[in-house]
Amino acid sequence: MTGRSDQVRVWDLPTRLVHWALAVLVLIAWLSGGERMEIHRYAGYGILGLVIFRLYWGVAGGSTARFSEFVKGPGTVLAYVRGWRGAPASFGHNPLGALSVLLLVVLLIIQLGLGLFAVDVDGMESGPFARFVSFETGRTAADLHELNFRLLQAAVALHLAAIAAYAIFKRRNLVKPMVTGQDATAGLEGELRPAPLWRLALGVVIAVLVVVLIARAG
Amino acid sequence: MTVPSSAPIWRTARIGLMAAAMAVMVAACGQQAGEEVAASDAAVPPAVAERQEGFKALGASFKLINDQLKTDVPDMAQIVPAAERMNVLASQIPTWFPAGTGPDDGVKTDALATVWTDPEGFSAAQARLAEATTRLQELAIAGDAAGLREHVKMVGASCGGCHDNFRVEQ
Repeated sequence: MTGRSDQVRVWDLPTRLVHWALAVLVLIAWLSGGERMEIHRYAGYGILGLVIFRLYWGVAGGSTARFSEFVKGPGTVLAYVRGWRGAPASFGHNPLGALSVLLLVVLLIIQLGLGLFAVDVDGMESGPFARFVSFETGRTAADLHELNFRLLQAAVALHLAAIAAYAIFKRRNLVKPMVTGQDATAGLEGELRPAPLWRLALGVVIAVLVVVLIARAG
Repeated sequence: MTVPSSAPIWRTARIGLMAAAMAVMVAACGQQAGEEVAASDAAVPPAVAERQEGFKALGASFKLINDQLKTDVPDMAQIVPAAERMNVLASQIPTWFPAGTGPDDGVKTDALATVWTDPEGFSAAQARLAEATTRLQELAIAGDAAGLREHVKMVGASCGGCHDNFRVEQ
């Protein structure tokens, strides 16, 4: 690595790309929802592909992207929360942030699942699986899709608040590493074990294939 | 993105802003949940129940037609009766909004008061839908799948156009 020697590589490129693409597409889906349904549908398919890839990357990706590496038990989380002010900087996700990642992923999966079956009030616009359910069921899915989005908004707000809290109270910039992949926090130790390129290719193929199959089913 | 400065006043302001943003989001969630509970608790007058059933039947029929039109070979045997049902229901809409069943009468309804304060506008919106469903039925009977695929956009726009002005925002 060239440049400053105190920079350590934390996030691999696929993890960062998925993160920012999700941020953009969720925003697009929010703004287009109920208004521009053609755009909303494509945003939804994009998010579906990204979430499928992220789940795959969570078992096959670089070390810091893997669930088994960053998801910790309740004891570790509690100890981290108790000693939050003085806790040393974590390499990759910290034990509490891991729960935030899981929460966001779970809410996105629920949101996608409901959107697949949702029908608008006119019976005009619908998700690709809506034809397998009644109008009433599709309407219920749409109502829950809206309700779950409020939860997703709250989770994103919490995510942003946490980033702000780390910046204010711990002088830690969490945004830059998610952009560049490099973390300049002093004293940070750890090593990102990247995944080979063929694993990335396989993940992209799986995600695209599943999205195409689901879109075609509708 | 840089690490923020440590001036205490800015620190306090930032925390305050963050807390306010969180409070607003939580309050919005709570309010939404509250509204949904209230809606399911209120007793529904017969006239309101009738129009709700009517619009649900309209939506269900339209969904059936759109579902069929998405397939490679739409089943006209299903589309024709659904189009006929829509056309009949569309013609009945004027009878579904008797005086005294609006939001100003203390009725829990998604209909806006404009249904009663702007009868010409509402009547024109209803006529637009009735015209669109009549054409829908004609195309269905003719078995014209391509024509139907194009025309459902017009029907959908008639639903949406009326909902924009005469129904609470979704």
